Amino acid sequence: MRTNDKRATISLEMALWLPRLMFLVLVIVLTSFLIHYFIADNVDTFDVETGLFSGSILFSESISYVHPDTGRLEAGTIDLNKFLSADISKKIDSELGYGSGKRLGAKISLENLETGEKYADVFHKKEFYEEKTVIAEAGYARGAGGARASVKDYYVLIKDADSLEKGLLTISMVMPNS
Amino acid sequence: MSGKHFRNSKKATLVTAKSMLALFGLVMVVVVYLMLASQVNGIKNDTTFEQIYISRDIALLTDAIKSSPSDITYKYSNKISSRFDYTFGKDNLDLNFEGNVESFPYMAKGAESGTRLLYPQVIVFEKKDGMFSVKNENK
Repeated sequence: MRTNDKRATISLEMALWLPRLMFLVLVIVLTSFLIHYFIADNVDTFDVETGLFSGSILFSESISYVHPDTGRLEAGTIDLNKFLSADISKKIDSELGYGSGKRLGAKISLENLETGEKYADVFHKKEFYEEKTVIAEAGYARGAGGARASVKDYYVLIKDADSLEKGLLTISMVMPNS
Repeated sequence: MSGKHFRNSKKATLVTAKSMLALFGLVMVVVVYLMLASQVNGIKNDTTFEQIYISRDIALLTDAIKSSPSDITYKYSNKISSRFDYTFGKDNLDLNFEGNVESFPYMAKGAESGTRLLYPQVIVFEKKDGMFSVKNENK
């Protein structure tokens, strides 16, 4: 390249500006990233939603014992006849569960701690629960396609006719991230 | 050196090129500053986070009240977020602010569908005899 050439001189100056421009673009992108990085744009309500769902199950007439004389619902006392009824899943679906939206799936297990007997699991949105549990158990808890699971255990009483026995109610819930 | 000779000289070419590049740099600084200022200003005026927060807070509160085994009345002070248009739909709570809508689903069933509250300062949630209702209590 001839240094006394006008065009060559300008080209050299332009060439020197290229790294500066690239650095400028980098600074803009980084500044923009930092601005957005420190601004919260979402609220994580996973724990609240799963806590609310499991609490609602305990306070649900579909599963809990309602005293026939007072009409009072006894939260934490599971009515075994209701739990073993064929339409228990439908009752829970109609009472709880985000309408037609696929937001939460659950499995409810009941074990009699005195006899060791495990009753049949009750599902809320069974297919959805099984599908998302696979994702959550595989560890894909982050990102749009991920899912998170939560398991809550409650020591309960199992009311069967006149008997009252100790039991363990386990509510396993799974929620997709989006 | 006369003006004609200077304009055609190598020195003149360098001075012109450097001036143009300095000017370009100055323009770039102004453009970048305006761009970032506009971005920050946009974030300051953005209500999306507030809408997400309030829609979740109220939808989850609705779930908790509906799940109550007995009658309950709850007054939700809403002075800070009274600029939104609230629609309690069948499955979702919609918060509308100038056409920007944020939704959050309910869990519990039994809401009266289609209740719309415009700019409520106090929202009253009530569950009575198994029926759930929500109303505006602006004074």
